[in-house]
Amino acid sequence: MDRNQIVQPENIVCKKPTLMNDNNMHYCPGCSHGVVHKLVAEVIEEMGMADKAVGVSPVGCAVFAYNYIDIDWQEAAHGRAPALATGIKRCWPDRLVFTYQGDGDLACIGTCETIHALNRGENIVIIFVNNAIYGMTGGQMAPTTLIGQKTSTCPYGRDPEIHGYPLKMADIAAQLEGTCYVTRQSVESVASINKAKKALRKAFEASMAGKGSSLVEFVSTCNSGWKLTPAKANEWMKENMFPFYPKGDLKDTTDK
Amino acid sequence: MKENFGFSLHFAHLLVPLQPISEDYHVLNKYIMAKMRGAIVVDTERCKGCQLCIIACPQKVIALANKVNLHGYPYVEAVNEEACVGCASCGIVCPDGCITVYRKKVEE
Amino acid sequence: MAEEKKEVVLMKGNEAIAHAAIRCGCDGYFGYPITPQSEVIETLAELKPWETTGMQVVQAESELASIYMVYGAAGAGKRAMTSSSSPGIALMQEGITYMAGAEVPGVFVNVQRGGPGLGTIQPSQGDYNQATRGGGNGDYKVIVLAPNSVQEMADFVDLAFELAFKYRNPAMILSDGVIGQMMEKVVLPPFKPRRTDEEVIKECPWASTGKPKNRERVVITSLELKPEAMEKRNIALQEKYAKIQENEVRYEEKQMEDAEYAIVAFGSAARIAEKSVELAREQGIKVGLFRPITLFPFPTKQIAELSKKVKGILVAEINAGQMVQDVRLAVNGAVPVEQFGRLGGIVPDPEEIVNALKKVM
Repeated sequence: MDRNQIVQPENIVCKKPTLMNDNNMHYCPGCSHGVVHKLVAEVIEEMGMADKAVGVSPVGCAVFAYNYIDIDWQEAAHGRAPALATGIKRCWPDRLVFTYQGDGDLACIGTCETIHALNRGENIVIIFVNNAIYGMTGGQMAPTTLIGQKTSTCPYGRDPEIHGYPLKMADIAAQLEGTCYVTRQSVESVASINKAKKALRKAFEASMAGKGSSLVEFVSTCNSGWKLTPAKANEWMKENMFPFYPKGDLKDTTDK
Repeated sequence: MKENFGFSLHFAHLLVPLQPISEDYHVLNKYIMAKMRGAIVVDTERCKGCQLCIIACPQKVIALANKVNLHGYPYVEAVNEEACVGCASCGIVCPDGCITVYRKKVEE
Repeated sequence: MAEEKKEVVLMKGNEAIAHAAIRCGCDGYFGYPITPQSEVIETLAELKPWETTGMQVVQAESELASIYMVYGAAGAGKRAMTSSSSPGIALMQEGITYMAGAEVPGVFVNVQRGGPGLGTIQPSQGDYNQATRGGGNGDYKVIVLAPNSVQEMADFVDLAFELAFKYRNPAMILSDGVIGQMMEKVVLPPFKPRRTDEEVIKECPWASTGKPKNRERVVITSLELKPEAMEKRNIALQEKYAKIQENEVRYEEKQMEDAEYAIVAFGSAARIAEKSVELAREQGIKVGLFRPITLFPFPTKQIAELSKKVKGILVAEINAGQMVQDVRLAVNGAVPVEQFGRLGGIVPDPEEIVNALKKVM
């Protein structure tokens, strides 16, 4: 069988999601954001909600998420995405409304909005890309930076005496009455990507069914900020991030 | 057999139902046993040379080309396409959605 | 046309805002309690409009969250508003500049109290600069309406939304603790139904309502990294503000026909100054009152005209001298302009203003 017989449109088993446009994404090579964007695009498309989805992008590396996924978007001020999403969903209850935030946006300046939107049980999905560093501004410490991890504002390693402790937002979210689904996923392997996509779908469906708020955390890499190659960053993540931010469902009441 | 184009993770119906997999080895095994041949087309202007596809590929199909694209990134290419079974691991892990993966069953 | 049965009721200014919001088809109110305006959200909570018109009422976790909920809903084409008082409005400044930059028609009410900082709960007009110069970053303007009665509190809610959507610009109602707390007779506006989703989509094609196949995606954002594009955006905003300046000035004159002196005042200071004009006239002083109703756009032309007819102007405002600067700019040295104000939440008596006027003369 020669190559031309294989490379035919009816034989496609994998391609860029149709809801992703042709704009080259600005993320660093190997960045987890790209994979999470693909999953968001695929799930929205598969749910048939492309014309009813409204995303809220953060301040952070993903500020330009609105340039890549072909739905309507709003750009939020730093940390405030869950408040915007609340306003949108309350006034457009039949829309699929989600936020897409990094660890600085969600767990630092936005902690208040995150907790309260989740606790009010707003029918939205909060997507949390956690790579334990501030990527966009050049690699500073984040509230989820691990003890001992080196960043530009803790160059000798995070020290609890000076910097306090890393925050486990998913654990906090799982305690809140208003949440129906809280999960941690990752996107470094085919298996984890498959699981992550299912989790995202579950969260989106729960929000449309009026079950309450969901937090889908993606434990991710930042090879630029961590100063590692994409491959080594995945290894570092598996060795250090996964034990501290363990994957799996922390709360699931979606079938109640 | 109805096929969903563009929904990159919905290839399960082409094979025996996949058990929950944690290792790509199981993916590979099923494809080889089902006698699939694959091919990839790389969007070289989208590729950033992160090489995650190279690591994900169980068949050593892909390598970094000795060229750069218009953005200055070295991109990847299939150097060993005869070994490709169309498992799509490369396309799935690619952060930029650069790789279109084709698969066709080898006729007996 | 059959005459509408007028509902005349006695209520506080703050309560009038709440009633008017429901009646003008507001889709969502997102607010946080703060004295002296908590009656707005309390009245809404009591009236339960989510059960009648479907209007959402959310008590947010802070003023920050409030303004961003308004941003989200208004960016999606809905009539969304919030209310607060001076320190809370200070918190909202970032959200306001974001709305101005992204051209989002949110509406917000400031029931001013004494400052600076946490200040006092007594009334003041100390946020004039914050409202007209903008406490947020960048070159932007917010449409500012200054009511001086409970009736205007009721009437200006729909007007604020109309102007906000006409120009895709945030609009504010700059009230104060006197107007918010005082009780007066008011004719509430007639009920206007909330727009349907289809009407919103038709009226606001720029809004993030969900992208159908036949249009490009909408992005509500104030971010633009390319300087040339950002300059173009800013020039367009400035042109918009010039249009607003040309078309939307509102003011009121009382006894100005034969006036030799003028008192320029807004909001509750204008109500007090009305009495001062009466008292002064009794003493033989020919004085009139010029009351700007829109603070942006400021009635610059009209005050310039006025300065050709009078011998002096007294600006009466309950602050250390904010609107007087705009009056001086308009007068451009033609006649003396003095300012009188009280600070710290103290509301002046009409006699004090008359005495200050005598000093101008």
